[in-house]
Amino acid sequence: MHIETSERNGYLIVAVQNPRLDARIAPDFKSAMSGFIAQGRRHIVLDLSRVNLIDSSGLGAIVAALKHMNGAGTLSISGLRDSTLTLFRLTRMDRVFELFESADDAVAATPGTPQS
Amino acid sequence: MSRIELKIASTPEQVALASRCIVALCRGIVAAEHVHEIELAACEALNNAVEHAYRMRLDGIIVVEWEVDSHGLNIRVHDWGESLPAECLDRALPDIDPADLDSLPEGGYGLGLLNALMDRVDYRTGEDGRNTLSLFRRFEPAPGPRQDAGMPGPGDR
Repeated sequence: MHIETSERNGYLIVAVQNPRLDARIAPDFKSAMSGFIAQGRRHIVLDLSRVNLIDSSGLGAIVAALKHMNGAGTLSISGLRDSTLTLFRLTRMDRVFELFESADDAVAATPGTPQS
Repeated sequence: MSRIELKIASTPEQVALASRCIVALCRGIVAAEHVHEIELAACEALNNAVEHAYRMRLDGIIVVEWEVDSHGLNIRVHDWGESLPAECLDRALPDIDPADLDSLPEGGYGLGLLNALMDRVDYRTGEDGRNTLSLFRRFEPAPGPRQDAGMPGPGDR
């Protein structure tokens, strides 16, 4: 798995570089996210702009990260493509996660303030 | 009719390769904006064989049949592992409550996704122990200059 992290205005931006977030990658992705949360990161933007396909294992790992935060922080998602947005819409995860066009848009939102 | 068979081992790497092959086969046959839906469905059907039929064993054999006829696209995933309970096939996507984080499922989306993405999903186990998960997606009518039931185009007024 290849992820790149950066920091902006108190947000940790986690950018997945693999074209697929699938069953092959999901376990490593899940541990990496758990690691960030265990380090006390409470405002994370998951940048999926380079990901073409997310399967149910990948989605499960993203949901696991959100649950791991236990309501004490924000996990927003940026850069979904048409192909990955389909999965979020079908599973109604577009109502669970805050979705942004870009990581910059996500950072511009005030931490902890839900956007409509 | 066009038809091809792919034989792979039950590993996540081979699943990724096979679903990429299916994407390549579908280009030009399935409308471009729907190819990713077929890729996701194929990936879920293959994951099902890896995770449920072979329980993550890496030495199982999976055969994928890809077939196009005048009605649509058929993808059949064959395995020789454990069979799915019949009731699993009717599974819909979990009904989630966005306000209740604890209740969000971390799994169990696969078969619901297949049912949502494909026009028909069927599963059967043969006498030889071969399980077959069949997916069918109907071809949408090609967009023409006039569609009887469609919205009027600029030339229709």
